[in-house]
Amino acid sequence: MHPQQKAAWFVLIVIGGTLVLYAAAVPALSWWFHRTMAEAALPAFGVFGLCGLTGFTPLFYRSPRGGVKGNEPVMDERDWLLSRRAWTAGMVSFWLFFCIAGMGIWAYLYCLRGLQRVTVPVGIFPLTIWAGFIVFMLAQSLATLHFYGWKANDAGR
Amino acid sequence: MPADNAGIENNIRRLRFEFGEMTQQNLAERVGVTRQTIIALEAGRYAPSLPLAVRIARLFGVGVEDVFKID
Repeated sequence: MHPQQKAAWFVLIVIGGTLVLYAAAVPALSWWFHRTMAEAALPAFGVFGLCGLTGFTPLFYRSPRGGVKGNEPVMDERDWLLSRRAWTAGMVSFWLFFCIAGMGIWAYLYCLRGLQRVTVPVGIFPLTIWAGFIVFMLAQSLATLHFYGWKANDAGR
Repeated sequence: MPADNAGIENNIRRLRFEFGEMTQQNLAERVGVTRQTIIALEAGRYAPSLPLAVRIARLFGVGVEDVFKID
């Protein structure tokens, strides 16, 4: 399995695990502090700090001889091509999510709920960026696995 | 998603066997790519860059057009 595939699986496991933990943390905090689920939803965001583990992905690209396994490079021209495509898929997903989320909040408050004078909490903006980052990481990882093929020894596309 | 071979076929597999039954790993190391790339090339799922095509042809001692051909 190529290091990029390993890194992609690692990211999927970390983010997937974080989402599962968040889903468990909301009812747990709600029960522990005697709050409603809606009130517990915000502090439960703390578990998303685990996404910082994705910063360890460069470790997958290490090799004993300064980036080269024998005479075989860790990344060759095809790997860089697939990496660029996966990055593009991630950025496209991020931008679509960011625009839809940004306009969606406004449309929901203004059009659907009829709130013409409404204040959007300032925390919404960093949360949207953060959610967009997660969307980017997920899309990039899924695209990487798709381009390489989902099996460990598949040469992919 | 379609394959990235741009309609290019190749004789790499045949040349490897004619060249002392060279392994994919050996070929990959000698032209400076990963074995996965050689697998993708032989399967017709990837069109190499010009420098890589030249390196492969030089290794086998033939011309580029003897290794690769467009449909």
